[in-house]
Amino acid sequence: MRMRKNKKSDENFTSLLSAMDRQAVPPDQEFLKQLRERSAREFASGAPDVFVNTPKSIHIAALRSIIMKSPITKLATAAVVIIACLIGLSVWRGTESGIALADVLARIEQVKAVRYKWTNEIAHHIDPDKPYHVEIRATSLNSGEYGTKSNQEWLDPNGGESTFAEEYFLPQKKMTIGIVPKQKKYTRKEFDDGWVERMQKANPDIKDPLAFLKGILKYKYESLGRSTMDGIEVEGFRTTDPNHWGGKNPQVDIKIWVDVKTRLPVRYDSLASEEVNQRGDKMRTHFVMHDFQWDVPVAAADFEPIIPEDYTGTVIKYPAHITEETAIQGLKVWVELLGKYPDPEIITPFQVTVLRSALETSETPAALRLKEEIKGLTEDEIGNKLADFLMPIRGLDKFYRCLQFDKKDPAYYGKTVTPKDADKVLMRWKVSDNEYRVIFGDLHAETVTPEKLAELEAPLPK
Amino acid sequence: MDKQTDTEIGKGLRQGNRDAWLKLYDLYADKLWHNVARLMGDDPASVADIVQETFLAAARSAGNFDPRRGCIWVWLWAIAKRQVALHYRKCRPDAALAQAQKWWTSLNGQKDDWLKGTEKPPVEVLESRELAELVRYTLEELPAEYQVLLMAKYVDGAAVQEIADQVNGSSIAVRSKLARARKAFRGVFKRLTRRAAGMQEVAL
Repeated sequence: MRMRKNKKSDENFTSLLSAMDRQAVPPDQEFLKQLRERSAREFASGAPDVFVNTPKSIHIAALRSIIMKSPITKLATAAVVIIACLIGLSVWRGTESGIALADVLARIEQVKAVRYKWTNEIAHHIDPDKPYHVEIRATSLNSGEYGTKSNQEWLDPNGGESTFAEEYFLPQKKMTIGIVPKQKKYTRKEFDDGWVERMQKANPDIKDPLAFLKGILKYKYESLGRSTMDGIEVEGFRTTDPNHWGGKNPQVDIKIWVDVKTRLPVRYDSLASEEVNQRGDKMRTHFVMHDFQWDVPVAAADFEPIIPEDYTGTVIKYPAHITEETAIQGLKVWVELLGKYPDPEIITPFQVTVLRSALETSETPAALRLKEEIKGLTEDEIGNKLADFLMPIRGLDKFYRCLQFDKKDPAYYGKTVTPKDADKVLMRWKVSDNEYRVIFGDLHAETVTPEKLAELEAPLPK
Repeated sequence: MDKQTDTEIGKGLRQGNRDAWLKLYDLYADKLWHNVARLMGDDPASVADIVQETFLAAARSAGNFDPRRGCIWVWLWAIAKRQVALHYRKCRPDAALAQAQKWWTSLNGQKDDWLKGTEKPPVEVLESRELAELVRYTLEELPAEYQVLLMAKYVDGAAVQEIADQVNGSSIAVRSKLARARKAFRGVFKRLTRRAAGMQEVAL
């Protein structure tokens, strides 16, 4: 009797729930077939996620991190790409031909806005089973007054669908914005007043045209003579001087062609490779800028990002001042989350995906609390939650990067030093010829002499 | 799918084995589409979008899949549920729910019994667009595991043992969870419809 009642109840409940089945659309087999291949590629690539924390955007973020990590490939970022014209030019000094590159630099300084196209190919074989290759095609508009706007297409190396992104670098508004229309996502990074100064610090070649002009005198070049390019009479220059880049064992071959009449660049072509790890694996970058349109008219509206209402995003606000204290706070958060200091390769460039992966296995109270807090949240909600929480870690990344750019001889020993090691050097950097600043394992900081530092570091692995 | 297949696929995923991923895809692509489509109704573009986002997100995190935490289907569906929830929050017009709520309030009949399953609703109710909408909204609010169980049992018509095999559980556990899932369904459905009638929420 009870069984019959249950059966009847089940049937009635089935009728109720099946109501939603009536309008359900059947599977689109062609779509599923395409998705099968695409998802398999995504799986095989082990792809990290897009701009900060959304599934596809993280993929681009990871690529960008690689780009930014390399003094060679940082040229590809939209934020500095126009300045790359200057950097590119900076490798030549003087000339025996008709064009003085100093004149070219002077001409560029007079330009208010330029539109141009660029491509960047990056490839490496760090993992022999997963050769890495990415190609970006973009159009950028750069204005000395408003900033930079860049429309980028990230090509799928397997011939699949491209990812499109818009990037804005807006010094006046003290922010950068990345938009991925297909995913309806955006990332806004907000900075303090000292941001531009810090950006310049991170990219010293753009700091000051005068300093830059002085800098180019250090490097060798050769003339390629005159030729015709796209119907324009140009003069070419070439350098293979590796010193310009400052990367590890770099090999560079850079060429630039300048319009003989206008004294403005027509094409810039940089082929470079550098070692990216201790095994000596190399990353190869081919960066080209072309189709320059100098002194194009621009308006403020050209640099107004349009973010539709239904887009979701992440806002990251950087701390006002990135100091030693910021770095200490960053190290503190890391150790609270992981129970140990992070390995050197993950403190910079910092990636949310790497942290989340490390968190998977961590069972510290802070990690458990954080995992509980983000449980059940959408990727966007997680991204926004982590944005504030992880700021000290981002600050640490920036702090260390500035030390590297400033050539302050930084070193970090997070692989071997623990929070209990009050007398061991966790991080250090040079503050003057006679002084080094040291953050010890217990996170107290001291200034020491080079001799004392040598003594402290003697037992640490090189 | 049985536990052994789940374990084999899980192992392959952790090793980055492409064939393991394709096996997972082939096993679940249609099923995922069907279930997403049930929750989305007549909106093929959104269904395709959610299925795509689900598989791409799953592909990215598949290397970390841990079979000890649950079966592949529940894991995959949990990812889909997040996408569906996001879609509901962003794109579902409130007006459709409001209209369905109003419609339900206006109905005569033993509505409590319909929800308990002791009485079958009239055909015109079962065939109404509004009921479908209310069922969707209700299911959308339930945990992923309950969604999986309710759709398998009451929409796909799977036997309890079959479901137990699919989710790597025992039939006793499945029966017990199904009872809880039905109760949760009734609770959410009543809450949704009572909200429209201006009544206070009452726990069942």
